[in-house]
Amino acid sequence: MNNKTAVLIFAALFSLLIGLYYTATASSASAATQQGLRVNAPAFSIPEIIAVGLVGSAVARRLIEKGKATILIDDSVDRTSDGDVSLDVAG
Amino acid sequence: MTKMDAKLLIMCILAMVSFGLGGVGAVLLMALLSSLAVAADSANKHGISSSESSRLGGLAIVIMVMLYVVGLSFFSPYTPGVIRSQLNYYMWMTIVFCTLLGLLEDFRPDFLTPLFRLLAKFFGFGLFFWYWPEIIPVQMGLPLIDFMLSNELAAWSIVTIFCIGFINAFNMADGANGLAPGIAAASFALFFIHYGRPIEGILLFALSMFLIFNLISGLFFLGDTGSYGLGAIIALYGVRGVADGDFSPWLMASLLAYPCIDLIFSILRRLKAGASPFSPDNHHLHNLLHGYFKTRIRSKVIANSLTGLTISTATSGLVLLVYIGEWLPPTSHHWLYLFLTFSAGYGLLYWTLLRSAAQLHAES
Repeated sequence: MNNKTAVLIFAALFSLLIGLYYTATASSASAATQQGLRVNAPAFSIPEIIAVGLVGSAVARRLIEKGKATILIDDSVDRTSDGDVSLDVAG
Repeated sequence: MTKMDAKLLIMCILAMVSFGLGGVGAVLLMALLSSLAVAADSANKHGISSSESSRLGGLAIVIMVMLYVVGLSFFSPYTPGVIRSQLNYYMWMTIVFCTLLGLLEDFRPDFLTPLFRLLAKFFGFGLFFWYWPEIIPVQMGLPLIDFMLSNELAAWSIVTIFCIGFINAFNMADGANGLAPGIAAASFALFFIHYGRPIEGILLFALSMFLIFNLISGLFFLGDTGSYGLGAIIALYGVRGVADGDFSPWLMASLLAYPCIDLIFSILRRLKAGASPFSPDNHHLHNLLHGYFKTRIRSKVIANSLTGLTISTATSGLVLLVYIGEWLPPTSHHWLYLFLTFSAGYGLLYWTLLRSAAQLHAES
């Protein structure tokens, strides 16, 4: 494997994981919104435009808007409480 | 900086603007896969492409979709549809079966005979529709077809043959850059806007990145993995969407107009010429359009990409625009008029290009 290939592999994995991390935060935020929970900020914040771009941010917004039917929240989250309960997004 | 490096830079910029770092990662992954020696096609072997290319595009899409589905399942409360519903589970098993058939063909060409692959697909789809008849549409809005769909066995046969025919038509379109991926990207954009589920969003992302790579580099094709897998997804989504009353059958027919019209027209054309209706040839509309562009544009990749992009934008892209603009409701039967316009447009353009090619041939 030459240097160029190694750099490409590293860059590809790093970039894909950043995109995945941001999509996971959108997915978690969708679940939290569904349950009326407060959404805490993710562990580390990446500007949306860098993480998922223009089309990607539109996709993430739609995901949050329509995700109620497809993203299920874990039973371990206390649903009986209201504003005091929160969900950490992306994990 | 080599020509390929410059192209890679352009692709990364476009991917960054549209899908951010995730998009850049997808483009780099495709750059890596396209440089592999396995599943490589020699020049002139793949459709109208005249440069050496890779058939691992489908595999790249599979890797990206798997990465995001598994990642979202672990890092967010997303539950994939295959776990939530038994119907989804068997539907995706059918899709995976078709994808694996394609993967085998990409890595070991002609390991399975075309007849065996056709029968295998018939078996897969036939079994699925036999056990899940509720996803077979019962009404198309045309009395003769509706009468046939009222008979269970006839409906099963029609929908099974339609799905297999569509997969083969979609596979046939995977020769011009941006043709099959353009149609697929428009389809997933429509499905995502309508349903808003993560899986359609992931497929839209993967297809958009593939489209950028395919159009600019001209080095990467869906291959049988991509065309069988994506063809199966689009066919099953379409059939199910119509059966559930989410879409008019004519909206689906318009969205997938090019592969459907081209397949029917090609069969009729070959029968008229006394040839086998299934024998491959280079007389499709995209071949003629490519011939037209080739005589006017010096760059082989641009001529090829312009061919695919023109057809996919003028058909599926236009349908997506009408849907987004809400000019027609998705359940309206008025989509039939758009489909008829596409059919007439296909015939007219084919005739015009054929005449133009004959004139050029006579002059030379």
